[in-house]
Amino acid sequence: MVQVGVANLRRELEQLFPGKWLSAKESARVLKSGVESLDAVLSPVLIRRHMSEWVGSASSGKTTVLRTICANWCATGLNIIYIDTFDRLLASDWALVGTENKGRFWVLRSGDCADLDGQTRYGQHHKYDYVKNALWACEQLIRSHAFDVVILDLADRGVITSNINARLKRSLERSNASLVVLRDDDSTSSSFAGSGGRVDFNFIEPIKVEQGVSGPVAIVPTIRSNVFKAGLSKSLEVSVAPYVPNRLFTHSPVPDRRTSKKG
Amino acid sequence: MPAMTFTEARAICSSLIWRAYDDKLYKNAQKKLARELIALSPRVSCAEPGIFFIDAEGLGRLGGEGKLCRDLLKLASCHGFVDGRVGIASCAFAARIASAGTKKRWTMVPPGQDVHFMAPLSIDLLPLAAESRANLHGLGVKTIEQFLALPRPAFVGRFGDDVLRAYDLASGLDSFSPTLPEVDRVFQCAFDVGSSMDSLKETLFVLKSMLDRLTAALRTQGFVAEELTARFLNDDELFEDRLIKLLRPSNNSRFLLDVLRLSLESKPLTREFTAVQLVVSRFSKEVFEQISVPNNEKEVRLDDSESITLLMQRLTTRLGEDVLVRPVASDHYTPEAAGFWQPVLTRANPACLLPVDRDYVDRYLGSYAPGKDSLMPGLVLKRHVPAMPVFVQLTEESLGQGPLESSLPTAVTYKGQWYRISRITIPERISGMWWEVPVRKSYYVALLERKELSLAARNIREFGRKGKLQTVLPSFMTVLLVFDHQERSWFVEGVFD
Repeated sequence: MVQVGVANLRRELEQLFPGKWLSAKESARVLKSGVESLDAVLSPVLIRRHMSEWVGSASSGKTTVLRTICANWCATGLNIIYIDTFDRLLASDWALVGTENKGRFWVLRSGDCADLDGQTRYGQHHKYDYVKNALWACEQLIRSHAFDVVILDLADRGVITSNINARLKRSLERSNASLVVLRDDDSTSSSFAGSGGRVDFNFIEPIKVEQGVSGPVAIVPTIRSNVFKAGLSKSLEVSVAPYVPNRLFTHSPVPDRRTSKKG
Repeated sequence: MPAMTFTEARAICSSLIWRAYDDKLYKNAQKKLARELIALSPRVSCAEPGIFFIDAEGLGRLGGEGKLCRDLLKLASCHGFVDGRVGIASCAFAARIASAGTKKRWTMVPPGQDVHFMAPLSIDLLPLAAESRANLHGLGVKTIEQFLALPRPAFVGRFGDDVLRAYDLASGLDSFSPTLPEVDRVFQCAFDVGSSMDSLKETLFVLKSMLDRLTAALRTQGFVAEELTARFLNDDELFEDRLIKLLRPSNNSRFLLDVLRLSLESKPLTREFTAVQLVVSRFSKEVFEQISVPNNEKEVRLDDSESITLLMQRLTTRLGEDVLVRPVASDHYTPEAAGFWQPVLTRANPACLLPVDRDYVDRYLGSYAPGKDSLMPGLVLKRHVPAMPVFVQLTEESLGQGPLESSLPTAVTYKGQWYRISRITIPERISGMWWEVPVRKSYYVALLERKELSLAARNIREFGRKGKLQTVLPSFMTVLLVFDHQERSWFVEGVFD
């Protein structure tokens, strides 16, 4: 008990005075996010062989933060797999993650489309199969030793029983991966047992509005995250630059050979 | 008649039918006849349509070559080919020339007399290029005898390879010979349990024994399985015929058993079985190659390691093909078509994929990469599949003043409740794809806010839910609100997370 307390204290001090309190072995287990402001807060939860729980409402900014971190991880050669349990991701949002031939960013899809409102095409029974399959795949991916980070997106069906939790934890201990569990949840319930830490997300003001020629073209609220670990909490606010997607073709257009009719 | 038109021919023969040349038809007829010719000789090879090479060796005690010729012509006649001709010689080329004679139905060249037989014949029978043939004629070389009168080195450097090859053929040196037909290999096992079995554990025990035998046979003959078929029977009734594709050919019984186990776990048998058959429905020659040795024992490469193949096989067997994907950008302007999920295994790109010019984007539109202390620009969209139809409340001043699509919404239903839209972008109107499924949509990014709903209160009362307004929304929520002009309906296509 005392050892755990000392370890927590050392991590806290490490955050205040980086590079002085954690041993080299411990430091190597921490996955840096690549963004300085995030590192200060998220480092305690992004640890190899540990599970962290990222919780927020369906629209809270957690995946936006995670995408940036994934891009940085891939750029440093880490291999990441995202288990998209309900096929909600859009490929265009992630196309620039893991493109530099360093780390890989792969997505495991359900193989069939399911909506989030229980209106599955194949009846009620199958929607639980998606979660079941996702949890099974998560364990397999952790045990494969092929990925440094496994992201499990459970949407609002994030029920991890103590049995599954124990299995995942055991797999993590035998691997070198870090597991990030994404859950859409507004409740303030505590994290499931064995989680290495919990990060809560939500959108707050100020809200950035990008003005176009004839009105606003992008709206981006600020993201606030609260990290809970070992009874301690830290909060962080990050802003996201608005992005107006390029809707113009970037390749050389086919020359228009039409000519106006004479006469 | 040569050069006769179809109309002219029709004038002579009114019952004439025009049929276009069908290569497949000829090949099928040739294959059919070749199968019959096997009865006369164990070695039969097909050349171009209508030409067969048959091994005629060792027929001394079977009636000799004359009997073979008669039998061949008789067999061909039985199948409707009454104008067949046979040539027998020591080499295939000489035999072919011998069969081309029109005077006799069969021609037998005595053993070792191929060159003598071909000597008086014209060089036009040799496979020469038109230019080479003209040059030889120009030099006064008309017959094969004259051709062979010159030593082979005289042609080297002066003529092309076709002349040298023709020289060898004329000299009776033809390496071609009919091949032995390949024996159909079958790798299969059957196990009759004798009683009904439904336990997975017992089934796997049976399958393991069968796989051990199959893989041993595969290894002995140097083959690897590419595809397995498991057939389950109940009292001679086949109720399950399961095809299992392997991502990587293997003759490892443990791996194959693992694949079968996953298949049975993900899709259990519908009933108990009394017998099982295991067939290697596709196999190939085993290839040995040096695998890369990782420096770190724990390090596993994502490209070609055995464990990754096993992992992918597991995922594919249980979840289906093409579940493991990577995102690829495409130069389209609709959000759905601006990127594709490319399967990691097949790496097949959709036909409509247009590569994005990254240099152009970075140069003119700014880098999309995250900075040292900043996130990637823009929020991540998480789709609703299918898009969620919603009711919207439009601004009162815009109602009745213009078309429905030109009004901005002020409140929206989301998951059964009304919410106020505190901010909304101007619509991004996208249309196109008229050649496939027409798209005409207006995309809005709307910020939903948890506040007292003055505008929507009226509607809430109508729904009789005033006392039950217990929103689950956080303070702010951004959604992608879409007006589909084709369907004239509003949808929430996803939320920004």
